[in-house]
Amino acid sequence: MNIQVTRAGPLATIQDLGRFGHLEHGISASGPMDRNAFLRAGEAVGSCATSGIEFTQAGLDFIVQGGDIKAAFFGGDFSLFINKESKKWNGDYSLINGDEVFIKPGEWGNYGYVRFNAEIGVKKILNSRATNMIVGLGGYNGRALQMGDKIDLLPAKKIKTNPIKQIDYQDNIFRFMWGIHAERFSQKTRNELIEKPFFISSQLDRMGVRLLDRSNVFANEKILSLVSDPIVCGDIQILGDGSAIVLMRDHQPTGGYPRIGTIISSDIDRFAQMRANSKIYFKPISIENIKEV
Amino acid sequence: MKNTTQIIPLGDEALLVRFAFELDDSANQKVIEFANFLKTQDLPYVKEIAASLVSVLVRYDNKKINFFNLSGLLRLALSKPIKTLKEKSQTHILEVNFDGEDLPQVAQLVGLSISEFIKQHNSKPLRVLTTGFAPGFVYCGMHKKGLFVDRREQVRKSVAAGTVIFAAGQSAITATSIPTGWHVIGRTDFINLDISKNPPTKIKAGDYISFVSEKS
Repeated sequence: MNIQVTRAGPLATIQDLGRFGHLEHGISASGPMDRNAFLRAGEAVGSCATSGIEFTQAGLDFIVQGGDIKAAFFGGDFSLFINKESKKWNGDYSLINGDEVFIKPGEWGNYGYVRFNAEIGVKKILNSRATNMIVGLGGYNGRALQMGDKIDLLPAKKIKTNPIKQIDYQDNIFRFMWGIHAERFSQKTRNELIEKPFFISSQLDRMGVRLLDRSNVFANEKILSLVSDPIVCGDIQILGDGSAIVLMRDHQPTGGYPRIGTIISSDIDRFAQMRANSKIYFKPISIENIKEV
Repeated sequence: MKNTTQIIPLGDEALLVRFAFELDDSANQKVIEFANFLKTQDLPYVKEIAASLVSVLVRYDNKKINFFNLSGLLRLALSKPIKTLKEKSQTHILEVNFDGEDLPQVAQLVGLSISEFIKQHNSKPLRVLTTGFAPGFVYCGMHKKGLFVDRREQVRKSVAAGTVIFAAGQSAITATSIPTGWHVIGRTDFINLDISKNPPTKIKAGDYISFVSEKS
């Protein structure tokens, strides 16, 4: 069986948790921008399938063909319609042959997910189905989904996953650890990173989110180019012109711009959902206070 | 001269073992040797080890091991004598067509004729300092002091896969089309990226590249 895409918003891609282990080959892991929502959708369908579809604010429409399937819809806010009937977003539904699913823009958030109790029938590349559009590999021929694409769904075993904790998307304070170049910034700049608000700019994608620094925290920082070091998702990088970018799932593997901090892994999902013009604050956390262990 | 190796957190899911703050040949060799050594070790909950120019990235599962315990294991690994892994390094012979658009300018900058520049450029195999800046991309060096040039002022928006670029005492080879501020000196048919294979690249850090002029 399959689904056929009848309308694709920009940059809808097939993802799984990511293609890890290839930074030395210049390939970053990709994976869902909001991993928490992706995992909650997986929990709701209760299968061993590892893949799903990520879509952006504009959503995605598709039609179910050739069988019945369970589908779960999670993420930022969207309006969901099945056969033109409005359904609750963040839920799971049984779909039958011919069902038409419309996912329309909602009030907040940038990314939504649909996952099935079935694996998406695309070939694994380097052990992952995640789409990496920088390299043009994985997912659906290495590209974003388009109208007319037929996506095969392959039966996957039923399993029960550990419950995934829901996160508070209203929280606009993001915890970060001081970064590998933090000491190169002045004390004033470091204080202001914590005290001043920042705003999300309209330049945001899977590679990075550019911040608007309306308080000019970084305007006077002049740090010369540094030796390249590895980058991780969540790094807050300051470019030569003083602009701040948070690097996201499709980040470049290494970089020589100074990084003042790194947003911690448990806060990066809700950060990815912040729309342009959202006001945000940063709050430092030390490695001693990372409570995951 | 700092020779203390640092272990510093890079977010809450990775750490860096940093051998130097600036590109330095001996630190770079230590990075490659240490990363190769770590890959042979059975480190618990480590998801990825990636060598960079002067540091090694270690990504870990923070639900299974914390930064301090992992740092302890790495300190222990650092204290052991690490065998030079020279026997594992390969030499790749790379045929290059030296016809890059910046070649005349580069030759002029170093005060050589084009043919003399090519001769000196190819005079000895260069060590691969690091990989991973872009898919399949390799940096190699160092050239002798006389061949140092700065980057171009203008960044080229895109150079093709297989372009040989030159700056800062190094030569680099692209495997995808990328923007670059380095000087374009030549092209090769060899593309260090094949995503149908795992690993997807042939040239690794610590290997040697012997540049030869393509016979026309």
